[in-house]
Amino acid sequence: MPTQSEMPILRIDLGSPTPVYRQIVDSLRALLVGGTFAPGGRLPTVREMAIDLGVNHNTVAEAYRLLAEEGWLELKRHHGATVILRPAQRAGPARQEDFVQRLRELAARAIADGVDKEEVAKLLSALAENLKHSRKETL
Amino acid sequence: MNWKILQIVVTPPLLLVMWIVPGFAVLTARRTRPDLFFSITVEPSLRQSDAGRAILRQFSRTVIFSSLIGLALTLPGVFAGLTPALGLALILGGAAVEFAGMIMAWATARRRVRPYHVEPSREREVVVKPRPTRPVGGWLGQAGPFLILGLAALCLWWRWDAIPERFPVHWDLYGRPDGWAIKSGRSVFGSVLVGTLICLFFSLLFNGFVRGARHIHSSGPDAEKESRFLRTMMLMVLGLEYCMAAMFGFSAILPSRLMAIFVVAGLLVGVAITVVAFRSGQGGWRLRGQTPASTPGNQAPAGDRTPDECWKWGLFYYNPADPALWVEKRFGIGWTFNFGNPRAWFVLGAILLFAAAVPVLSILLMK
Repeated sequence: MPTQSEMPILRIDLGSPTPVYRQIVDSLRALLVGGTFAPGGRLPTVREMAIDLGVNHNTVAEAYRLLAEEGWLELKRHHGATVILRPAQRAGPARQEDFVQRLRELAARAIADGVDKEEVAKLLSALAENLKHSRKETL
Repeated sequence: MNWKILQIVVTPPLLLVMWIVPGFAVLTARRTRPDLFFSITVEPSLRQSDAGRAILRQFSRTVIFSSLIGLALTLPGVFAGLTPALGLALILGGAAVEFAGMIMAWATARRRVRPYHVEPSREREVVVKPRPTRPVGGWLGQAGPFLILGLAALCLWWRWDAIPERFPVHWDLYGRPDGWAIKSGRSVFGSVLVGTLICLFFSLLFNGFVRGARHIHSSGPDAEKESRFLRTMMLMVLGLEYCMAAMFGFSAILPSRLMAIFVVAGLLVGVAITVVAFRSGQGGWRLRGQTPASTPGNQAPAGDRTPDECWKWGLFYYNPADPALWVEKRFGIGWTFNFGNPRAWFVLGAILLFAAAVPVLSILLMK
């Protein structure tokens, strides 16, 4: 049985300019990409998650719907959300270029905010290492 | 109007409330989450600071002082042999003085705490895992009181001839019977029915709290303490259900002395629940291994994950944007309704209806 510290935790910031449903999608996607959930695993119901986060049910439902559209989840009425095996995706050159651009912007933003350059590099390489070790089928 | 009867009906519960409530109020102020002080989000260190201690002292003094004045008015109303009308007026006047004093103490404390208010963290966290469907104590453990009541009904039916013509249905605080019923199908099985309803009520309510309440902390020692606290309280409530099931189920066939054991056991469990709740503090924050409540990555106090502005007078939570049916009390141990949720009114109505129906049903069935 996993201990409390090993449990997958989703965090959002209600004060952030990013919409709450987007924060939920991004956090859950990060957990899914990292292979935290095996296919067939269940997520909390919309009601449970909405109560714990203190947000409207529709906000959580919208986040689940978007992840279902991306192919991460299967939604069934009264059964909540189930993680499904997502076929490997192949991004085209345009997608890859877009990703590199966004990553550059993010790094530049962090450096502009005062994060040390070396720290940014270290974090990126740690992230790369983490991705390498996550389950293949989720990548 | 028959003042004498009114005085007899009003006095015992009122006196009990007048003794208990001030004590609870003084104690509760020290048992709320450390970053919530008189229902206002503050730095956890405030309570232990000189300013915090001074606020607590003044609150306690005002509550105790007004209670003493209230009781000084009430007691002659009960014992001085005055006319019933004057006696009742003194009793109610004393209660009003105590109540007004407590409101004043509360309002003053909140006014003094307000300058220390800090914005609570707006971060929220949740364990991405469905809540367990298995209740605390297991399905069998939860079903136990109902099995006892079912067994009792069978025993009563089987040993009908052994049931005395007159049997106890009510006991005093010492476990001595002080109310009796005449043997009939209605009175004998009525007790089992009432016991079933009470156990069902407790079971639904407390399981509802556990399943439907917000987890304030999802990770770290605070989360572990929170779940330990919930589990302990649930197990104790379950113990109370067992006592009540035995008491209501077997009242017609067991000797009074044996029944007294169940009655006293039930009372002791009730007292133990109160003691453990107050010792643990709201959400179990005082349990061993405690660390100051804080949100990871943010120094702002976590509080109870509800906005301060949604607490009316610091006691009533009204937030239509919050899907929670009930939330942790800011002043007290346990939960309170989110009055901004229409379903809360429905549940509150059902609870009040039940609270009124059980005594009426008991009288109708068991007289």
